[in-house]
Amino acid sequence: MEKGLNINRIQLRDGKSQIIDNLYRNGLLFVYARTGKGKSLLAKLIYYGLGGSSPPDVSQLNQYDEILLEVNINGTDFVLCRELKRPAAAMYIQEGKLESFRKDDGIKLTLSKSKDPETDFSPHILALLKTPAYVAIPDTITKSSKPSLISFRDISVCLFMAREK
Amino acid sequence: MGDIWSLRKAISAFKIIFKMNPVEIYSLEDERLKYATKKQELSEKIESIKSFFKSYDLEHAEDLNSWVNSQRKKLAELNVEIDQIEKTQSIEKDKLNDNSLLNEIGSKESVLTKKNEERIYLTNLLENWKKLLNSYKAEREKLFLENTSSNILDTLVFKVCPCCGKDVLKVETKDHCPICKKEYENSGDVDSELQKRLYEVDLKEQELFKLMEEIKDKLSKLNTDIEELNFSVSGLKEQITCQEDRILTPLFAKYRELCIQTGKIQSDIDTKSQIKGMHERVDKMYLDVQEYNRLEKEIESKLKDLQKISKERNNMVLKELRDNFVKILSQLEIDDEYKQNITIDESNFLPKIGDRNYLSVSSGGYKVYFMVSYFIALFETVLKIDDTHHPRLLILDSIHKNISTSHQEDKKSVNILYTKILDLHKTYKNLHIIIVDNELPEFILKDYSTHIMDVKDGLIH
Repeated sequence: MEKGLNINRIQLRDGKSQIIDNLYRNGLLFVYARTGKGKSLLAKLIYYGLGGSSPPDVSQLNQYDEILLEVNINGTDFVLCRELKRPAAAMYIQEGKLESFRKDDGIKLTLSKSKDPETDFSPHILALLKTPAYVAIPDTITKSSKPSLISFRDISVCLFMAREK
Repeated sequence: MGDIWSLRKAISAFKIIFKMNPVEIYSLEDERLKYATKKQELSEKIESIKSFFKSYDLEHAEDLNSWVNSQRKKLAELNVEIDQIEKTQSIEKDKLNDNSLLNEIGSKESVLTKKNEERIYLTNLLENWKKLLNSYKAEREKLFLENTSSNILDTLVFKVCPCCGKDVLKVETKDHCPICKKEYENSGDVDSELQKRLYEVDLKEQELFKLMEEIKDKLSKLNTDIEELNFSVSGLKEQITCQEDRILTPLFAKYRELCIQTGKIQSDIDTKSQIKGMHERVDKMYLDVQEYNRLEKEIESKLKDLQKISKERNNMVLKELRDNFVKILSQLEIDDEYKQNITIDESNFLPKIGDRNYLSVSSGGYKVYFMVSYFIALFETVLKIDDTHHPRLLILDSIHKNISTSHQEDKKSVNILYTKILDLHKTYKNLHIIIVDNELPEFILKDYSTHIMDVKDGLIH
């Protein structure tokens, strides 16, 4: 079984739709443009689509309601769907390609406002990646270990080199 | 990306990615703690029971055992004695039941019963005859009154019986006294029917009276007999009671005394047996403590092995990461001053240069070199180790930031970083590297055009 997470396509949609495709390119993609053309937006959209806490704050996105990320996780295609204007709204995941994605058929992952938006979402991706979503963190008071939830965002600390850092 | 990760989560994530944080260690820690707690609780219980034993001077279960055994022996002896007494009691009772006195009492009581029955019969007969006698008297008086007008009194001749001296109605010339039955001479005749009837009633009355007197005599004799018999039976019974008192009472007293004694011994044995049971429980508790101790030690040993393996793996990961990082920095010809002092901080897995964070040193350009090198080194480490939870995805944003390619040295350094990325892509399969940049090295533009997404018209429309 192939192991890993690949990004295939991104679809932004509302009344109209835009697909940013051909992102995999045999595992190597260079996004190239002058400053101000929105190339960093691509990385931010991928990050948000995978469970990041907030969407990119850019005016171009105002016309869209949802972002759909077509990914390949350990050899299987999935579509992840998330609202752009309401980060805490329910997220959906469904096996298959963008064309076959129907929100109603997807697995709905309801997010509560009190929680970190990715709390429910990340374990799902991590489970697909065969990565434990929980880690035992030693409790210095009780001298016992208690499980703590690890999100995909936590994992992404090792995946993303952010420009701001 | 502007997100602030908590250090704890970041460290945990890093540990998860590199499987540096085996959950088994914590499970085993928990298990070890469980046994240690149980051991502690049990030891406290044992101490508490031991202090109880001490307060009752019952510290040694062996002494208690010998005491209980001796008491049980004594109890058995007493029980034998009780059995013996029960047998003797039974024999003596049989003997008493078989006594001639009882037979005599039986026969006398039988006679007594018969005599009592006879007395009741005679008493009843006497009562009936009294009633009959009264009826004769009443008839006689009635006849007497009816014949007053005919001056029966004048015609009747009474004569005093010469034998008994009673007045006797004369009905014939020669007659017999109805009382003493002796013959005497009449002084006149009775010719009326009434007189005749009066004479008959009188005669019957006198006969009845005589019979009643006989029965009274009999009753009197009977009463005397009954009284004598009762006295005799009482005497015999008293004799039996005396025998019982003499033989059975002391036996019974002894029996009771033995029963009380055995009851007390049994109660003592029960109490001490309970304490003995507590000793046995304590012995079991000691065994449990030993078992918990063994399990704890076993887990500690497992933990030690696991921790050793884990530590070795962690060191290997950190060394690999450092080596890869330093190797890239060497290719970039970063000053040795930095390279030699580089370590990977175990608390957050980020590079340190001396005591300082790698991002807090030098210029903006150096920071970019350090950051990009670190992420490439991290990715390379993941790919080399292979058995990790890393999703084999790397996104690098703006490698050229703060680096001017107008300088040949910087251009060369950037090319080295891009070459390194290409090498990784060539060497390892099934990975996804996304590089976002406002400039690309010429060799990339020339040789990797199919991998380039040019967004000169903007990404979003």
